[in-house]
Amino acid sequence: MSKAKTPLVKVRIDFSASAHAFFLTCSRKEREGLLRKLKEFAVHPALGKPLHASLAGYYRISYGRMRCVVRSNTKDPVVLVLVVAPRKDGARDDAYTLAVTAIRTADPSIDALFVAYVRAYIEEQALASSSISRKKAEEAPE
Amino acid sequence: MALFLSDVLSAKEARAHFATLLDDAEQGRSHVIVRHSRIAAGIVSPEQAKLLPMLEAVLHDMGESLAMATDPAIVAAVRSAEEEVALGHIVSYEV
Repeated sequence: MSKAKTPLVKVRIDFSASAHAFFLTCSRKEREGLLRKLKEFAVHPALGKPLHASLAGYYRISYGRMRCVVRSNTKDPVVLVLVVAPRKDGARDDAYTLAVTAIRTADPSIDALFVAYVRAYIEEQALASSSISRKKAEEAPE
Repeated sequence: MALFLSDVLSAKEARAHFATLLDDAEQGRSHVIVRHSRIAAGIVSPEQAKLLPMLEAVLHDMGESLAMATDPAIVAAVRSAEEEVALGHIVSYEV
């Protein structure tokens, strides 16, 4: 969703060997898009989409149909990418139902997850809108 | 303000009082319109309408993550990748 301008700060993105092998099979557009999203996450950790259950502590970063499982180093802007995989066919259609079903369980950890996703959405919107404002300011005649 | 406080009306009632429903919506009161015992539509305030795309995006996003975290292939791949990382099998990019 966000087409935020990539921050100027340099960050390190580490890939596990297997994640990197799959990353190299992605199209150039997907690779560039994923790196941009990973960098945004490194600089703005609030953009992270936390995972749950046995993957608690990890985050999901998506670009198009590609998804990564990542974890971040809280001290330095370093992101470790563990898995890169394409979204399964039909997964997007089932996602809404899955989320609604989970929320109905009244599990506090699911409630916390929902709040984290709302926060990530708001951060993403804020980042995208600040990027648009900056672009307009750059394009405005002096 | 009760953000999602709604009155339920039949389609016939909604048609008869449409102007009132719009006034209510502008003041933050939403209405659900039922046709043949099923929810057919809702009339909500602009503020509430703005929240709907967010709610849809958040639920889709969260559902994708829930699916991913319960996918045995993904979980196994993460465990295996952690072993690779522990052995130092990492490729780094500086971007």
